[in-house]
Amino acid sequence: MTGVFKALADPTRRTILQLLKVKPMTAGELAGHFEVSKPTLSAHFAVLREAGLIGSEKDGKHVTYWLNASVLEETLLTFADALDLNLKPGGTDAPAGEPATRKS
Amino acid sequence: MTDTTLVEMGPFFERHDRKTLRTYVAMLSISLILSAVIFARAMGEAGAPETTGAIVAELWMPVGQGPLTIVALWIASWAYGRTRPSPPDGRFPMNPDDARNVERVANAGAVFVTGFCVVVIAGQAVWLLWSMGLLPHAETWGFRATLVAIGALCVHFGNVSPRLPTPRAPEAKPGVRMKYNRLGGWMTVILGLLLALGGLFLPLPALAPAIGVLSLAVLVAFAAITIMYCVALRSPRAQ
Repeated sequence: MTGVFKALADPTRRTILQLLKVKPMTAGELAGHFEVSKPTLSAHFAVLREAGLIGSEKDGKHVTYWLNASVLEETLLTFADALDLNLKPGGTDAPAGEPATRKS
Repeated sequence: MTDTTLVEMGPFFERHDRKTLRTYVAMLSISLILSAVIFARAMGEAGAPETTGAIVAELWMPVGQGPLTIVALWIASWAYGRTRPSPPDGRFPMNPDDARNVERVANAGAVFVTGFCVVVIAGQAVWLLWSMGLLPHAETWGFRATLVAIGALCVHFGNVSPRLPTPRAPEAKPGVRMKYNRLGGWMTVILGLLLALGGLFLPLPALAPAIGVLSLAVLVAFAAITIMYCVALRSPRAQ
């Protein structure tokens, strides 16, 4: 459960989960929603995958991700979003330290 | 990061099916034995009901309801199992994430089935002991305990069920399938919470009508969701 809390503590990762609620998406499709570098995004995917919140499958050059959350984990995601939870000082805990702004 | 090695799930499904079959046979046998004991005891008692109608009215619940509930659950599991594709060579290669999720959902289903059958059998056993005067007030706490136990089982299964893998090819509309998987999971969890909370806190006279209304609402909701799901799968705009 620690991994789940860690994963949900970051707004970028929560946005990824919200996007994956709609349908499975490739890494490229997800990257289109963020202004962060691909390595940073990959690090976020790794954290989410380690927490078991997303699943992934490699198909040729593409990696497809899908939401893999239980009802409890989805409830925690909703709460974290509602409270705008951001546990790290200074915003995201993205490894590369880049701003994780969502493209409008 | 992404493991591309496929996991063969055929042996898991075989084991799971064998385990489920054994569970149902064992549970149904125990339930039938209890039914026979309850029936024989009621017939042997002085002042046993004389007409067929009276016998049915008095003994339907402890004798008939238990085994029939287990049979109904067995038929439902069997029908659900038939929705699983059955490749001719019996092989089920799966992505590791999907394989893990299938195991989780199947195990949660096994817990639900076993738990539900145990609750049914426990209900019969409690009735038998109560009729022998060994468990006073069992008609009150027995009903409440049954609701709480079934509620907990629903919460456990509903929580895991959104993880059921869906096909990811765009033409299979994975978004629609995921959405309704999640919806089904949420509804099952909410139903479980309502059953458990009702069983714990509702006053006894209100409990039976409340459960009746809840059951009806759940049936209508599940029917509506099934229809919406089928319509969404056929809609050209759905993803």
